[in-house]
This record gives sequence, structure tokens and C-alpha cells, in this order.
Amino acid sequence: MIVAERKPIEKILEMVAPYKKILVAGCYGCVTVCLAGGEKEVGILASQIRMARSKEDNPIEVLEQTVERQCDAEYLEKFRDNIAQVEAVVSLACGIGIQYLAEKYPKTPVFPGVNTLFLGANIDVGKWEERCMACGDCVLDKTGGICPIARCSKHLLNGPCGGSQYGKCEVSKDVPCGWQLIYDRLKELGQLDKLKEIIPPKNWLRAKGPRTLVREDLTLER
Amino acid sequence: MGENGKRNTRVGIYLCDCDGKLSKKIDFSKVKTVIQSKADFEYIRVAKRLCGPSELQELSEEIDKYSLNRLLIAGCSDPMINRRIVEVAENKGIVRYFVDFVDLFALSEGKKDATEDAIASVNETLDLIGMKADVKIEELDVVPDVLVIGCGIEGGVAARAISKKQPVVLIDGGLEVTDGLDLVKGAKNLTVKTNAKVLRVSGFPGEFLVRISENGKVIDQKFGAIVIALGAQPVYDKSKYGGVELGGPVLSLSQFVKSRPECAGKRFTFVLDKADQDSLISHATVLREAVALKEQGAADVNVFYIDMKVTADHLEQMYEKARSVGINFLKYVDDLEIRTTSTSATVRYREPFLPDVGIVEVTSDYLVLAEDFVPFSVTQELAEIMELRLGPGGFFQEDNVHFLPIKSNREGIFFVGSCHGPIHGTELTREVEAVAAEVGRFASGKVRVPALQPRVEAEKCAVCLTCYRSCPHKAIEIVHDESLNNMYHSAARMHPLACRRCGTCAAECPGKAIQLPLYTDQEILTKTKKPPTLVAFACENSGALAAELAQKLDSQFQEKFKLQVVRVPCAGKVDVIYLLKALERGAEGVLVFGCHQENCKYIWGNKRAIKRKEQVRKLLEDIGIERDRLEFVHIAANQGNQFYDAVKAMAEKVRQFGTNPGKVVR
Amino acid sequence: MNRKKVLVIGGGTAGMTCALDLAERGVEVVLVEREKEIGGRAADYCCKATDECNRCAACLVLQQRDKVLQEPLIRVLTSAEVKNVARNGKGYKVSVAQGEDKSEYDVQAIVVATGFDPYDLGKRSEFSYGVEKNVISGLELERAIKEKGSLTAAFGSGIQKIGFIQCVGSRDLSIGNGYCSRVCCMYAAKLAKIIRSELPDADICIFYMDFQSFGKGFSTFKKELGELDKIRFIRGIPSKIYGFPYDRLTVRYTDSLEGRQKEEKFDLIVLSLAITPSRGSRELAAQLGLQLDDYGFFAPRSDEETVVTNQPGVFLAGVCEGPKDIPQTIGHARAAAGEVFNYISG
Repeated sequence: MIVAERKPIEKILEMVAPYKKILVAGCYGCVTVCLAGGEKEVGILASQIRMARSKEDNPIEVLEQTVERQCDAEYLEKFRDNIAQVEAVVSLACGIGIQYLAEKYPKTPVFPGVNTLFLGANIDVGKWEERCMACGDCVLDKTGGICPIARCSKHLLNGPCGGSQYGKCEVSKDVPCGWQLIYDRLKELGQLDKLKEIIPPKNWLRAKGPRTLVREDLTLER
Repeated sequence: MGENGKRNTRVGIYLCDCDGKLSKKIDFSKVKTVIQSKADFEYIRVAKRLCGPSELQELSEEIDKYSLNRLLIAGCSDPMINRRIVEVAENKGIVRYFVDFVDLFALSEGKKDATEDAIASVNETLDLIGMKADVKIEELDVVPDVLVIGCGIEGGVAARAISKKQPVVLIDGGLEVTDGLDLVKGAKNLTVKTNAKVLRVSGFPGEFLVRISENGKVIDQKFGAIVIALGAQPVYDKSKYGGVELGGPVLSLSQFVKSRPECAGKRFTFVLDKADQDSLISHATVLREAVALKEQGAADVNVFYIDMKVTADHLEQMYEKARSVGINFLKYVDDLEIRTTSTSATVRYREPFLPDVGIVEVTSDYLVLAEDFVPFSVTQELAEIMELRLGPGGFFQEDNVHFLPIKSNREGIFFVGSCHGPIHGTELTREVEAVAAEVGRFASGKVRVPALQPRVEAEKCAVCLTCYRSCPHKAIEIVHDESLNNMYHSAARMHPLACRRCGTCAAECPGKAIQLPLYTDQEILTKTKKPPTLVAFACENSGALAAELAQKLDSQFQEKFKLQVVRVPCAGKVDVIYLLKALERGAEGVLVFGCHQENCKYIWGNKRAIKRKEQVRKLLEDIGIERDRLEFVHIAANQGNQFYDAVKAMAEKVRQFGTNPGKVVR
Repeated sequence: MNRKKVLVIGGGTAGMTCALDLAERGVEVVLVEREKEIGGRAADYCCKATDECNRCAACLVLQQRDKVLQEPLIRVLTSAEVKNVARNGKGYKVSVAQGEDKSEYDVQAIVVATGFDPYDLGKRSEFSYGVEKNVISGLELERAIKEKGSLTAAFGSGIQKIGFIQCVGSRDLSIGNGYCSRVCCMYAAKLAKIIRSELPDADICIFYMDFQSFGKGFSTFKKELGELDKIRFIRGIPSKIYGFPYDRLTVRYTDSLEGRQKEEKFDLIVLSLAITPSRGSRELAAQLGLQLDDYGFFAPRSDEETVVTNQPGVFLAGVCEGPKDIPQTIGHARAAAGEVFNYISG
């Protein structure tokens, strides 16, 4: 899941400062699950903006709407009536949703209401942890199911840096050393020999620009 | 939800003049005309005195005649009278939640003409009636069988009592304690499984699916309810007796009870109050055993004690008897010193009552030392499997008065006996009676409950598990059904028998997909549409009742402080949005009244409310509004003064702050 | 709808719990209360929470009263008394008087939930109860704190030395009360604790025989009371209290641990009066054909079935069967409701 958190209110107020009527757009997808941009957060932000502007003697009208996902055009269509009425939109979707919404409504300024943080797991209510950095070339088969890119602070592919102590990363004693975790897991699986295999460097070069995924076997010919 | 409810709603409006008392201030014909001109309802009339027998009869007939399924009664607010009206309605199949009252006396107080207020209030109540979720009385099938865990005396007593009314499976829970099995010999309706452990419990009250391993064989069986009666384990702790080891003349109390030595002519000494300080078990046992020894010809019986505990049936009499048969009760204050030889033991102590005598030695052939009672080691594991909460000392049960004596954090799962804290036999009897009464609800295989558990709007449910994880009662499941209208075809569902209706889940839901009937967001936000100076969200277990007491102290106090009290089932139901909206709509200050720490009926509703208060305070602070315009107050139902004082303090505070700058003028 | 009907005598903790439980099971209840309002004695108790709940359970009683008043299946009759009871098949025909009004009910079962009365000191003058205004009972202290909000609000700021005297009328063979009232040690301790949190410098003593702490963690509670809250525990029940000097009280007692007679001055004395059978128990027992135990509490049929009596269709709930604290009373009343339900549906 994509994990995001609400932007500080002063940043958002700055973005909407010139406007008198805006829409706060929520998403029932990942940002609802990570408690950053669902219907409730939309209500909270809208309320906060109205109060802040009222305090400045500069009232603003704030509409509220939440759709299933802001990363699908069909759902974005539901915003059309509301967007027609407003001068700007604050989207509480992840970075993807915000951009896609902006793309679909090119005449209306769209602002981010959240900071998109990482791809993570929901450990418990109010706790999330990063697990994947979407490198596009998964090596989990070689590392006992623990990602060295996401879990090692230095993204090292072939063993620890040497700075870990008592299983904790030298970056912070609250962070477990990713490579310690990999070692422990491989040992438990009886696959320590996998450590001997050298993982070649990843090609981070984005010669082709942003990544896309097209599955010819699935695409729909209209 | 509103859509459906509205179409089938047939409201009857009764404007009661209360024997002419109200028409002095209210023009009833005008109220009737105005309401008739715009509102959506089925029938309206002005009653002379609705609570009189003939008018009640008439009301009853009109419910049939106009097929009414909702009632709005505007008149007095006497609970005794309203109850009679509800009784009539319920007899006609209108459940109590659909009879609403408008207190015309209250709204006309201090006014010359309250006609307009009456119209406004009736209209507002009509709106609220339109928002109510339909609540049906549901008849649910339940499994009458009860699983009793624990084959000790306590489990045996419980299983025997329950099996008189419904089938029981009694298992030992993997413990080797089986001394209760004698008690259930020949009991009908009762199956015993030994060397049997619970591996998994899924499902809900009325139909728990329990996986049991019996002698290594795994079986699944359905039970309506589960009773844990594991007992507690006596453990001798030598550190409490200056390191004295058991053996030779030194016995632990349980060793002594199990194999009482030949007593004629022998000297015995018991030591109490070094161990087992939180129960009466050792005291009761020692009194019983001491008297028996004396009667069987023991030469000398001494009992060392600090406080003789007699708070159970017959114990004071037993203590009297023990003294009358010549048992020596020796109170000690300072530490005891114990010395042993292979054939005798000596206790040295300072005699507190005879300061001149000083140190005294008591030598006997047997020294019997009380033990502590601790939970069996399987407690932790069972608690994890069954998602039950533990309390002090690692015993079962939340340390919270709402759970006493036998409740767990889950409906349908109960505790009996020492597994939730060591208890004495006579208390056990009463606990067993209570637990038999509770599980007896399922004995007929059917139960009727009003469907008051929260409803989930699948379209908004992101299946994020927030509700599932924040439910203190484990009353929520995620169901998958193709008819559920969201991308997962899944949604959370609250079980009607497992849910205790605190509304915490509804307040936590990030998608606003969960609504608690009678306390939906729409209803609460409508009630607080035009907040006065102060708004208090008050838990109905504490704050709302304390508010009533405060009202008794000063009948004008709500008017004086311009306070609106909004009743909620638990502080945990108070949503961040309610707090923000109240301030946005112009309240100068907002209070949340919840129960004292460790006293929330729903375990952590008050804690959640405090977290939300902090969250909203931060949100306010960030936009330059005084954070102290919002306050959480711990209170109890009997603290009217404290409620009054908290409101007064907030009134004073907001007076100093001046007008709420965040108020949004429309 | 033809509902079963049950008479519950007594609108206190036990009666209300039992009535609510029966109503929840679809049974109609006639709840008869002698006083002007339902709630019983515990409705007057104060909250004993300090920075957290101290588990006195008094709040539960008001929660129940609120529910009873909203419950249409419970007909509450206050200032009412049961006049006549006659057997009628498996059930009873009863008449209830409310002042001049009399009403008759056919009920399938009767629950006795008449609670208790505090020990009546009557002519015993050694504690100056009823003579000196600052010698009060524990119940009076509870009510005063509940109504006024604090000890100081109730008794003025001059109260700096407070004594609790335990076992007044309990464990006292000279008056035939050979039983412990069970609840007094814990409530005195909890009252002492809230007074300590209000008055950090006051001198607070508890005079006792054997301190009856039981329940999870209560021995720690007592220990903390002594060590952290500096409550003095004095083993010995005073023999005499008299007003001296001026508006203070002199307490004469023998500290059994020191073996000496002493006198100390106090501002407020709180007597833990025993729980005794409520007045009228004897008459009610005669009316219903029930047995009383040695101390005048209603006797159950056996030690194993404490809610069932020797009369079919008549059940016991709560303290009328013997001293209990609030949670025990609630448990007992629920058990009674279960038995009643079985009886009337069988």
C-alpha cells in the first residue's frame, strides 16, 4: 500500500490563499487505509481551512468529495460537477492520484494535501513501515524475502556495511539492520549459501523516462 | 441508509396539552397548521392529556388505523409518563427507538409565547426521525452448547450447574487438574474431554467455532458460549518465609490438605498473611482445618495471622468456633523467624499484645505455610487464542468494575472462579449462579435482540481493518460477498451479539463508512447545527448522568452557561469531526466528558477520546486558535458538582479568550 | 403481546439489575420501591476516583437507574408497598399500595431485593452519634461528598483530623451480629483515599479489628494507603466519643498493639455502621412464607442455590440475602433474573 501523511496546514493554506472557493478531494484507496486522505480526513482539512480563513477575515467556501480511487479516470469523472464550481482543488490522494486528477482537469489548479511517503505495510492502527521501493527488479528470492533496497539504510545489495551493532543499523539504533534480518531469515531457512551469490548492480538509469506497464496480452482493443 | 428509511416512515405526531397547562403558552392549532403545511408525516392531532387511559387507548387504535411506525410526542418530559406511551407503542410493534419526545415544558420555560419554539423543535425532531436507521428486533439462531474449560473443582461446579439447562462440553484445557470430575459424574447433557486443549476460536457469541485437540486428535465444534474456569495454582514461595524449604515438619497448605498427617497428640502451627494476601482462600482453609485438627485430638493448634479475614459466608462463625475450641490465634506485626529440625519447627515472633513478654517461641510438630495463588501457565496462551485481556497478576479479566464479577472483554465468554483472581468457595457459588444465568440466554437455541450494532456502508469501506483492530470486544469481522458494492466486494460487519455498541469503530473509521444507529454522524451533527456558547459531548455512562445531577443543583445552569449537552454512548464515539464542526459552527468552547481512567465500560473509549482531543488541539493550534477551547474531563455519573465546575471553568476560560476566531459566519 | 410478568420488591441496585435483566429477556416487571425515588442506598454514594478509578462501582448504580427509567417493560411504582400476596397457580396475585391508590397484579414470580439498613445505634450513646453533628455514618459521608462535591464543601474547611471507626455493629456478638459486613473496610479505605487527595495535610485514621482487604491487588492498595497516603491504621475500636473541647471530638480507645488506653482529638468521626437486614424483612418473610437466617437476612434454599428460596416462585437478589459489595450484588441479581426466567418459562 502507498503510505502518505497530511501536509502541514500552513503549506496548504499558502496554496489556497488566492482562492475563495475550493474542493477538497479524497480517495477511498490507500490514503483512506493509511488514515491520511479518506472521507474523514477530507472533513478535518475542510473544517480546518474554513476556520483558519474565517480567523483571517477572509472566508472561503470548501466543498468536500471523496471517490473510490483517484488513480482511475472513471472515478475522477465523479468530480466534474464540483470542480466546475471551484477555483482550485486540494487532493488528499497519493502523488499518483494528485497528478492524474490534475491531468484530467487541466484548467483547474490541483494542489497536494498530503506528502506521499513510501510503499509500506500497516503494522497496527497508526503504524506503518516501508517494505518496498519499487526498484523494478525484485531480488527477494535471493535475500530470504527481505528487501535490501528498502530495509538497508544504504540500499546495499551484497551484505552489510559493517556499521551495524547488536542487529541495529548505524543510522539509528531504532532501525534493525536489514542485512542482519536477511542473515537471520536465511539461516532459519537453511539457505545461508545464497549469500555467496553476487547480486549485480541495478540499472537505475531512467533512459526511457517514467516507468510504464503495458500488458499487450490484457490491453483492450476498442 | 436514509433513503430507504424515509420511504417507509409513517410518523404520527401528537401535541399534548397536558390538561390545559401548555396551551397558555403555545398555540396548538397554529403549531398543527404550520407543521401540516410543510412536514412529511402521516397523522397529527392535539391531545388533551395523552397519558390518560382513554387517550392511550385511542393512541393504540390510531397506530393501527394509520399504520404508524414512528411517533413524535410533544408534551411533558416525565420519564414515567413517556414510558407508558412507549409501552403502548411497543405493544403495537413500534420499537422504543422510534418514539421521540419533545419537551414543551422545557422549551416554554421563561417565555410568554413558545409557539414558534414548539414549531421549530417539532420540525427538528421530525428531521431527526427521518435520519434514523431502521432498527428491527431480530431473532437469531444460537447454539445452546457451552464449552467449560477447566476440570478442577471450579470447572466441575460450573459445568454441573450449566448442564441442568443446556449441553456442556467440559475440557481440562491441557491441565492435569481433574479433581472436579467427581462432581459431574452422572450429569446428563455433559461430555468430558481430558487432555484437551483449545487451539483456535473463531466466530461470535451464539456460534463460536472452537478447534479442540483431544489426545492429539483435532475436532471442530460449535458452542454458543464459553466459560473459563481453570482455577488458580497454589505456589509456595520460600522467599516469603525467610527461605524455609518444604519437607520434614514443614508443609505447604495444599500439601497439608491433600495428605493430612496423623494428628492425635501432635502440635500444629499455621502461618497466614505472608502469602495469599488478596484472597480469603487460605484463611477459610486454615479455619476449617484447624477446627478439624482440634476435634480429632491434636494437642495444640496455633494460627499466626495479621488480619483475620472473615468476609465470606459463615467465616466469622467459624472463627468464633475456632477460638471456642481452643485454637491459639497469634497476631504478628514484625517478621517471623522460622527454625526447623528434622522433627519440629519453631516460630519466633514478637508478641505485640504483651510488650513486657517480648519475643516468644512457638514450637510444633508440623508447620503449615500458606501459599500464593497464581494463574496457570496456560492462561497467557489461552488469552491470545481467544483474544481475551488479562488483568493484575496475569489473571484473566480487565481490572475494571464494569467487568465484575464474570464478564470478559468479549460477549459470550465468561470467567468463573480463581482464574480471574483467587476467590473463596461461597463467592464461587454466586459466580456460578451468575454465569449459568448468562449462558442460559442461549439455552432455547434462539435469542431476540434489537439490531443496534453499527451498519457499514460497503461503498465507503476500504476494508482497512481500522475498526477491526480498534474494537475492544472483537465484534467485527470482514465479510466477502459479491453483492457488496466496492472494489473488494468486502466490508466490515459488526456482529449483533458480540457488539456492545460503544461506537468506537464509527469514530475511528477513516472512510466514514460506519454508522451507529441512533447516533449516526448525521443525527449528531444535526443536533449540533447551531451550537450555543458551549457544547459538551457526554458519555451516557458518566457525563450525561452527571449533567442531570448538575441540573438538579442549579436548574438554570445550562441556560446560564449557554451549554448544550450531547449524549453519546461512550466518549470513544466522539469523532474528531464533531469537535471541529462544533467550533467551526460557532461554539466558543467544547468539552468531552468521559469516564475515569480504568473505568471505561468499553475498555479504551475514554483513552481514544483523549487522543482525539490532543489531535484536535494540535489542529487548532496550527491555525492559531486557542487549543484550550477544547477540554476532556474525567467524570463519573455521581459527580454533578464536578460537571458543574468543569463547565464553569470552561465558560470562564472562553470568556477570557474572547470570541472564537475560527467561527465560520454564513 | 402476552408477556410474562414479575414483581420485584425493592428498587435498589439488586432490584434494578434484576428488573433490567428480565426486561431484556422480554419479561414485564413491576418494580416496587418504598422510597420516593428508585436507586436505593448506593445511588447516594460518591465517586471515589482519584487520578484513576478506585473501583467502588457506585457509578454503575446510576447508570442502571437511567436505563430502568427508559425501559418501557419496567413499571416503576415508587412510594409503594406490597400489601397482599396470594398464591395463584404457579404465580401470585399481589396488591400494591401507593398512598391511597391500590393496584392488583397477576405475576408469575416474585423477587425480593429489599437491600439493607445501616445498623441502628438506637440507644447506644457511647459514640455520641446523633448528638454530635460531626459524628456521622459512612453512608452520610458518601451522600455529603456526592451532593457537595468534596469533604470541605460539605463540612467546612476546619476539618483536618478525620477518624473512621470500623465494625460498628458488625462482628459484635454482644448484639448478636456475628458476621462481617464485608464492604466497610474497602469503602472506608477508598473514602480515606479521596479525602487524602483533597486534603494532603489532614490526619486520617482508621480504627479497625482485622482489616478486610480482598480482591485483586487490594493488599497493595492497603499498603499504599499506609505508606504513600499516610493513612494511620489503629488496631482497636474506640470505647467512647464525646464532644470536647468546643466543637471538636475526643476519642478514647485502647491501641491493642501498644496495650495502652489513649485519647485523641478529632474534627470528624465516620462510623462504618454494619449492614443489617432492612426494616420490614420479618413482616415480608411472614407474608411470603420465607425463612430468615440467624441474623435476619433472607435465607436461600441451600448454600449452592443462593437466589432460590423454599417458596416456589419467590427468589432473592442482592444484600437482602447477606452483605455484598456492588459488583457482587449485580452478579447475584443477574443470577436471580436467570432463575426467575427459567421458572416462568418452564
